[in-house]
Amino acid sequence: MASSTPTISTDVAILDHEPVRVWRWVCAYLLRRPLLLIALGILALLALGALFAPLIAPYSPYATLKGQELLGPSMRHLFGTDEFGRDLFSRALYGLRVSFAVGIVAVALGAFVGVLIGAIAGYVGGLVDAVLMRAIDSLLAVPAILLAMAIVAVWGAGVATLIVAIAVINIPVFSRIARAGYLAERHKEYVTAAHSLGASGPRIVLRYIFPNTLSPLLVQAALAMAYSVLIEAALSYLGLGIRPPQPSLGSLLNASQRFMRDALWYPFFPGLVLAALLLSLNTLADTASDLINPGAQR
Amino acid sequence: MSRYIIRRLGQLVIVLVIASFGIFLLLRLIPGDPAAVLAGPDADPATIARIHGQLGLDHPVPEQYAIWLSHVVHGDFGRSYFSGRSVSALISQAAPVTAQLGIAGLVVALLIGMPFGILAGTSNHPVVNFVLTVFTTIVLGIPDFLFGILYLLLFALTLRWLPPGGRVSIVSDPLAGLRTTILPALSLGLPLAAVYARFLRTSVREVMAQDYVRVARAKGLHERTVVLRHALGNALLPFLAVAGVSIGRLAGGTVIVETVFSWPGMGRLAAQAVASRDYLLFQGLVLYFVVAVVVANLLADLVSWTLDPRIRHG
Repeated sequence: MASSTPTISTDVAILDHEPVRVWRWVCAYLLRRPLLLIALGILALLALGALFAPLIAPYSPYATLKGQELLGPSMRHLFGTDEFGRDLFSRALYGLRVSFAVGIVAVALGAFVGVLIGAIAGYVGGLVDAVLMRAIDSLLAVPAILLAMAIVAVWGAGVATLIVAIAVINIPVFSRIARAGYLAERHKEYVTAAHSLGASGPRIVLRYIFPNTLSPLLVQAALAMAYSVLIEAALSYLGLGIRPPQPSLGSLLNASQRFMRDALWYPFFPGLVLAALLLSLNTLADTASDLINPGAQR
Repeated sequence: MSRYIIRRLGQLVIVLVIASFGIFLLLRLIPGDPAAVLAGPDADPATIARIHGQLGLDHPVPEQYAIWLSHVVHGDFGRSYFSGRSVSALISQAAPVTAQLGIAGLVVALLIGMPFGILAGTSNHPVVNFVLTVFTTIVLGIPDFLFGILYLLLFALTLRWLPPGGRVSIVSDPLAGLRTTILPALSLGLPLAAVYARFLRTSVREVMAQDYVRVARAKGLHERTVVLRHALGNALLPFLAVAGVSIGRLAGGTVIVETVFSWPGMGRLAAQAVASRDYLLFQGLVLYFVVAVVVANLLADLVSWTLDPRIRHG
């Protein structure tokens, strides 16, 4: 796979060989980049926490404990409790689940639609390209958060709406990157060869060109993941995302703001979890981008 | 007028038409009768029928769009059903608030981002680059509302240096206005400063490797003269386009930052409009933001066109 991608660095070309050397290469690469190692560790920890939240959480995220409102962090309540006496550690874990679920599904959906539009525009060209790209330009003219809010306005807040809204704001970038890839590839010899062998249009688009446009799309997927988690948190913070009582890191932060004068730890822990997730996702995206463009220094 | 400007204006019109049609469709996409939705949950049939007539819902969709557009062009966005006031009155009340925040945020972004980016682009000092990398990673990684809450915690609640939210007009009371603007402007401007610094570093580096910079150095010019007089102009040209595009980001940021610091601006109004299903108000606000973003992009392009003969002479 790597050998068909001309922009890949010689470092990565080793991936073509037997699996043992791949692992040795991965380990060596990680050791040279302690920051990446830390980011991967944090991400793994958070992902496991989200995945096994029902097993790890000491309380139900909805259970209100009478007489235990707004307690500070302790061994019983690691992150303290909220104004209804709900355990904030449990709520943060379940909020993390929402972040991951919305992020992953929204990016997958947005990437699918975006790449499809970009592939058609880049491969077909001409009028189709012009029409599709003006439509994408118009999407980009609306600030992302307002676009997402418009979709929430139409269908009302909730997980499904949130996923659609975040998927839609991810479409333009994916389609532009895919289009650029298809424009660059469509006149190459292997495409002409596939044509003369009688391969159909969809087959050429999917089986022949697509693998060669993949690497910048993968970098974008990592970036989009961080961006989507951020937008989910922002919308939930505005009260337009996840509906209470379901917890989300954004809505926890919103609720905390009324009490933070006396309860500093209330915004602190959900904020810390969100920041850790975003910073590790961004570090991952930067690494992916370095691997694909070894020459460009950030 | 060159062909470039005509083409650019043509694109602008197309984008505005498509975007406004999308914003118009917003109301029609809501499940149910838009008139009933606008009238609110406990409206009588007469009110619904009246709104039905106002929106021209018995005409075909393209005609409805034309009716809507002619109203909008005359500044008539309809009436906010939640507050009962006209949408244009609400927007003109909120616009100066958002303008104060947006301009202050842009000033923060430029004042921090530009010197930082130029410094990192001209110096090879590892500390400078390390500081920039750490700065951009943290500022771009952490959401603006989280920063806003952190600033409130630190500067307003703990140190008590600055007021914890609320807005005073910087025109009517400059000092109090400035004090209320600092924290929101930092929340809005710092992420943008990181974007600017990153971009300028690359752009300055590229220019510094050009032959004419070497010639300027060979003439024995002071390094500061080489950077400021010879290199900077060319490094700033591509930056203009980036700054233009970033206005959209700034506009989106005001929604969040105004909510954090309870500023009664257009962004917070938009969030409230969605929460209270005040569709005509939201429609008007989005249209306003879109026009602002598109015009800002056009202005950036026109400035590049004036300054850069390569664009002017194609």
